[in-house]
Amino acid sequence: MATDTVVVGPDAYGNEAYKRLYEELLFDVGKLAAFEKSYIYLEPKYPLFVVSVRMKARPSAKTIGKVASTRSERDIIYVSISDEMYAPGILQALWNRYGRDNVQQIDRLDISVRGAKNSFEVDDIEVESQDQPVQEVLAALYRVLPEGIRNRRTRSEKDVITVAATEEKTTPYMLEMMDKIHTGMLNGGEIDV
Amino acid sequence: MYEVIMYDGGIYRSDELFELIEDVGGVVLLKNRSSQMLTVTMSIPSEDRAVVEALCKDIGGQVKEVPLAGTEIAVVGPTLGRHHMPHPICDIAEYLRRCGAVTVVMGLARGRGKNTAQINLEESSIIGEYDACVFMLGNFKSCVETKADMLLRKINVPTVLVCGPAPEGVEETCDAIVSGVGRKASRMREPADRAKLEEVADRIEEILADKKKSLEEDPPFVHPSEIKALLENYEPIDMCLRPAPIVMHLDGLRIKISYDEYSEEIGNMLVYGRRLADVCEITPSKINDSSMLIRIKSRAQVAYEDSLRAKQ
Repeated sequence: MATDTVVVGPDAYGNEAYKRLYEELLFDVGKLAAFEKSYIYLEPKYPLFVVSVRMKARPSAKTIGKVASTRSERDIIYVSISDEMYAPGILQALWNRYGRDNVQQIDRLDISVRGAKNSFEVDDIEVESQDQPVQEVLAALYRVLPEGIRNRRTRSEKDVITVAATEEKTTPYMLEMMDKIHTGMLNGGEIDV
Repeated sequence: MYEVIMYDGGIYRSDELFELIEDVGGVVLLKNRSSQMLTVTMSIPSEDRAVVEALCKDIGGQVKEVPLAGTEIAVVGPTLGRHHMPHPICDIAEYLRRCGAVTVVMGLARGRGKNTAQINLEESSIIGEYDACVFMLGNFKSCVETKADMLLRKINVPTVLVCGPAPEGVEETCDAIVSGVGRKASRMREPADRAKLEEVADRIEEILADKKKSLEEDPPFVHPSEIKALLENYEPIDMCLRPAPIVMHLDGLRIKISYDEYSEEIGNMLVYGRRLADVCEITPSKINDSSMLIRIKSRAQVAYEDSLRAKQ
């Protein structure tokens, strides 16, 4: 779990416990390795929880060309999937574009496609949007936040995602804290709260 | 003097064990069969323990100490959500089960949040049906203190609060506190975690010992195991497929058959020449109508009611 996680807050026990909890949960859902730095601000008095993460790279949209290799033989395009995680998405995208009759899954990782002009056309088909990894990160962060802290605000800019959550009203102080932490993470992670 | 022990082994030759328990004048408190495995919690005379242990060994099983046998304990979390329910609660429930208790895991409907958490009358009444309660809270001291005050005050059975930091000012709301657990995302497998599980079981044992002591001052009219022996051969209970259809409490029993259908028949059964309904309070469980509670009246209470009847 080699990642830089900083937890700040007035409750020393809670900070330590939440750091462990955060790293374990994010590791379990396979997202921890994607983060360069995580900053967690915990103020149970209000309660206010701010979690900000800077990703190693802003996720980009995934096309078939990035997760599979394609080749053309006569009028058939053969797709060999290299990352099985995207296999259902590739099949769905090809069905949507060329129809079920023209797309056949030959075996687990091989698909044949009729009706495509060339392999470049198949390579450019999007299987995962740019937003999906961000949504997955948010879902993982929501898993860390306490269950009753339902009033949540989210900011996502460049490679930084910040979530601030409280139980009832969001006050200007809370938004200010969120802004300070988010800006600090965008500027390299030096935050003084 | 009777001792409570647990046999843990296979079902092979288990009929010999049941015969021996009967021969020495013991009682089977709980019998759980899972596939070919069997656990039997029994109460036997101390002088016959060696004989029973020898037979258990002979038929390939183990004998374990079960300090919490004959009790039913609720392990309660703020909600059933994944933030509150898994790991510590399940691990505590399982550990208490290994100590001989019958445990249930429960979550509150609106227990989440710091300022919005609440427990309603139905929930506190359900928890009140158990011998004791383990209440699990989280990692922040101020949250634990606020929620303990809001939730635990309404629970009327001996309660152990299990939480992360050591809270202050909540001693009046519960009977014991075990700190150093809190919300966790992994199983309690490490030596330090196992020590905490032992600590929870020890605290439960202590508070139940206090409850037993107060019961001894004016003991129940009959021991729950005697009513259990009476009900065991009652056909609806014998045919009941639910695990542990009779669960013993310190001052009574939980019977997992319909109250509406069978309470009258059970009430008319005789124990020491008296109707069961005269020496016990038979009530439907608050959970649903498919189980009922039998609370045995104390000797003084029965004598008082007898004297009232005599006057009439």
